[in-house]
This record gives sequence, C-alpha cells and structure tokens, in this order.
Amino acid sequence: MIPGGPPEVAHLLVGVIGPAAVALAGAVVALRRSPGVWRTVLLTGLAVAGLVPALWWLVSLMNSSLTFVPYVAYLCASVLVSLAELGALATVVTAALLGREPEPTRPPG
Amino acid sequence: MDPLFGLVVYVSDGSRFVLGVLGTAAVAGAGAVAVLRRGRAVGSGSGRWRAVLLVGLALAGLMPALWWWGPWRPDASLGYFGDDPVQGAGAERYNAFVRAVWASWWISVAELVGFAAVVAAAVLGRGRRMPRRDGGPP
Repeated sequence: MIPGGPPEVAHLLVGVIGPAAVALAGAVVALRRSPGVWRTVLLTGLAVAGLVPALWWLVSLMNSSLTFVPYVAYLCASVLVSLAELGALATVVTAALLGREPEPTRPPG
Repeated sequence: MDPLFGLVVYVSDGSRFVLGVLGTAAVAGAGAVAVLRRGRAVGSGSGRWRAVLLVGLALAGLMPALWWWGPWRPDASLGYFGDDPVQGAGAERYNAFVRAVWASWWISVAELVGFAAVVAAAVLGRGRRMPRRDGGPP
C-alpha cells in the first residue's frame, strides 16, 4: 500500500480482475458465436491475456525482496510475463483481423 | 552499483522496452494498417467495427509508449530502493513518486479499455458479410 497512491484494490481491479473479466466475457461470446479455427486462436489469446496478469499477481515473485538473486529472478519473470502478454495481444488482434470469414456464396437462383 | 547488477537491470529494462513498448506498438501499428487496408477493400459496411478496432489498437499500442516517454517514469523509480518517503526533502520526491503511481494506474485503465475494445471487435465484428466473389451484393 502506497500512502496517497491508488488503493491496492484499484490496481488489482485494473491489472488483474479487469483483464480476466474481459478475457472471460470474450471467451464466452466467442464460444457462442464463432465457429472454427479463429475461435481457437481467439480463445488461446484471451486465455493468455487474461491469466498471465493474475498469475503474476499471485506468484511469490511479485513480493521478492530487492536482494540480488530474488531481484534477478523477478526481472526475468517480468520479461517473460511481458512476452506472454505481447503474444496474447498479437493473437487477439490477429483473430480480430483475420477471423472474419466470408459468408458462403448463395447458389444461383 | 555492482556492475553485474547494473548489467542485469540494463538488459531487463531493454527487454521490457522491446517487448512492452516497441512490440506492442508494432502489433498495434501492423493491425491498424491491416484493418485500414481491409476496411478499404470491404467498403464502408465494416465501418463501426473497424473504428472500434482502431481505437482499441491505438489505446493498447500507444499507452505503454506514453508511459515510457512520459514525464512520470523517472519519478516512478524514486521509491524503489528505500528512500525515506515522508521526511524533509524526501517528501517532495515521494509526492512525485505518488503522482507517477497514479499516472501508471490511469494508463493501465486506458490499456484495459483498449484491450476490451480489441476483444469486442474480435468477437462481435466477425461474421460480417464480405463482398461476394461474383461481385454481387454482400
């Protein structure tokens, strides 16, 4: 808790619960609406984007003391978390762009 | 500072810059170019979801860069290594640190909104009718 700063729960809401809720809502709607391969791509991206911040929040690395070895482990973990989040964003954007499948052409007449 | 420690911090900071700022901006930029080209190809029928996707990409892609180059970022480091937060001259630095934390929080809100917009465009924008190959009405 930082006196004068945003409450800890606000960070939790914006950084952990918010992405998880968006990912969950997106996954539910995607399951109901979208068929095929793009659904799988979208769900994978949503799962990673929604779960990685929560995983980060919950793991013990978040509270690592600033002595050398735990701090290095913390930095490595944060780089991997950034990598996973970037991959998830790219996946969701790809699904947004390419997932629009053409309507089947109606037969003549 | 221990040189090895400095090297670790330097590499980590650089990696996070590449992943969290350049990478995100590259994904957003590539997505924006693709959606603009695709929107032009499809025509005005895709306008609403194209706009949602572009806004989401802009928020999700530009916010980390805004943070990285913003005036708050140097202040954010003030509290890392045990500065006394409330005594004497430390109070001013502490207030700057708190402002940086608030800025970080609002940027996180904008990123969340951007992510929600991209997800909404991904989920709800699909299934729109595309031009038929025979040139007939979609």
